[in-house]
Amino acid sequence: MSVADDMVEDILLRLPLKSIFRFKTVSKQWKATVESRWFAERRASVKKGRKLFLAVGDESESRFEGDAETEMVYLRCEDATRPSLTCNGLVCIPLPGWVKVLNPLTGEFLRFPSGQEVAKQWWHNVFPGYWAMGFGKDQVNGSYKIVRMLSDPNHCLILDISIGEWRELSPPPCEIESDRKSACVNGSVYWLNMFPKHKLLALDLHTEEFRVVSADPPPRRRPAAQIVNLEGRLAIGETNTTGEWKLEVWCMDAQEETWTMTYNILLSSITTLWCRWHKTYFTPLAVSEGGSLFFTDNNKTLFKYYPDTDSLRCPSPGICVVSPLVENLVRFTPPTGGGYVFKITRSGQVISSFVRRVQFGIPNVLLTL
Amino acid sequence: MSKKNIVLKSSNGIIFEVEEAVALQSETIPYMIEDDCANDTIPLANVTGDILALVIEYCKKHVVVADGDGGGSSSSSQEDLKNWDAQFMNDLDQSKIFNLLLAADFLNIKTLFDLTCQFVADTMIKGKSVEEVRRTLNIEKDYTSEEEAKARQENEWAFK
Repeated sequence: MSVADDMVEDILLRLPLKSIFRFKTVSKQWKATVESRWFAERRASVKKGRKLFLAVGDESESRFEGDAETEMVYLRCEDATRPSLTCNGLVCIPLPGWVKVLNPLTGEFLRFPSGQEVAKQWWHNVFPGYWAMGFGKDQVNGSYKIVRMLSDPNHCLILDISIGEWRELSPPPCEIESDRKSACVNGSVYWLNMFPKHKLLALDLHTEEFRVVSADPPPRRRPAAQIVNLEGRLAIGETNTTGEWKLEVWCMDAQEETWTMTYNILLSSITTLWCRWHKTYFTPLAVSEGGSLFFTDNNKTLFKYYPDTDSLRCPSPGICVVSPLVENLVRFTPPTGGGYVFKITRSGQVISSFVRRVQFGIPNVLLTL
Repeated sequence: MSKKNIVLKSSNGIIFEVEEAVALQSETIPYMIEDDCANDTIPLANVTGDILALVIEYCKKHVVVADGDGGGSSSSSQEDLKNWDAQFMNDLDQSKIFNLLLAADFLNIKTLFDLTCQFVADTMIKGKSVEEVRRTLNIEKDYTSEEEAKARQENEWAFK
């Protein structure tokens, strides 16, 4: 008795990630099934209750106090500590001279030459060459695109990772600050600008046209405001460090018309964790099924806030959490414009139900950065 | 007022008469009722009597809860239902499970299909060796030995 192929897919969807990788060796058919785009998309909806985070470091040295809904994917790779952008399980890491797009779960990456930088200097919170960067998924045809702009807004480039060639893009209607990350929500990349005017700029990754969003971002303007994709909605995390110490999270509705405050966390009343709190700001990452908010501080330490009890927990002291991650098992194809799919060699990986370590050795070619 | 009943006929000619609400958990049956334009029996050419009996047992159990107390099912009844589902699946042998999966798919009963898929994933696949899975699901190995070794090497971490 055998099971029809389409039912095999339904069964495989319900397996833990490790089993899925193991059973790629059952048959070519099974391998093709789990590596398909369709499978990855269905899997994301079946496993939606779980929160996955990408962390830097060594699991054996960390003390992650997991719970049933939180999992860590560890990346032991120097590049991972650099500023990066995440969309749908892929991580875009701009490096001097290159932009790398990595899938931490498959270990595959693509890299694209990005030419000379105007400035060679590198700070931990700025992309190389002071580029303003964007990375996201074109919702219409499913391709991933990288956008980079120099502070001179007339120089704006876009690259489809399935093609691998930079193209000029019509410049945005205003200058974009290079020291703030962008966020991709629903097929558009958003940049938050503070100066000279408080504005939200969007680029539709399909039409490749810029627009200024009509809903003005929340009224206060703090340099530490962070723009993120929070569970599929555009959100701003603002840390108030000058008066009362608190974290506010604002979410924009899908029609880009209104902003609503979804969290207002009075940090000074619930924690004494930071003595230099005037220099600590926060980035919201994810919201659990029960409404708890996951966020990181500027040292990338993860926190979980429970609104019911107004309490805060730090489940992973010593672990750098880079971004929320969704499980994406789609394999890269070599860019049609030339290039290869690279694979980071793995060794000594351990997977447990809560903590997963994906340990990567870095190919020599990348050590010559 | 008496409730409307629906008559289902299995592929081997066994007749089942069930309440409409029970049968309508299948999203396929309403179309069959429309198509036949009759109150006659609905023939289910793909489902044998023993499997149809199981499907009906499942649907009867689940219709009661959906009906009860103003539609909202309490957490205890949810818990009971979960235990019942687990027991229901545990009592079945492998061939019944696969046939039930086919029937749930054909009759389009989403909760039963999800339940059966999850059961197969948890008990017949997860934690088994590649060879066991091939045997259980009767899958032909289409890899050459070299290809299999390579695929295994690529996914080596998942074997630990």
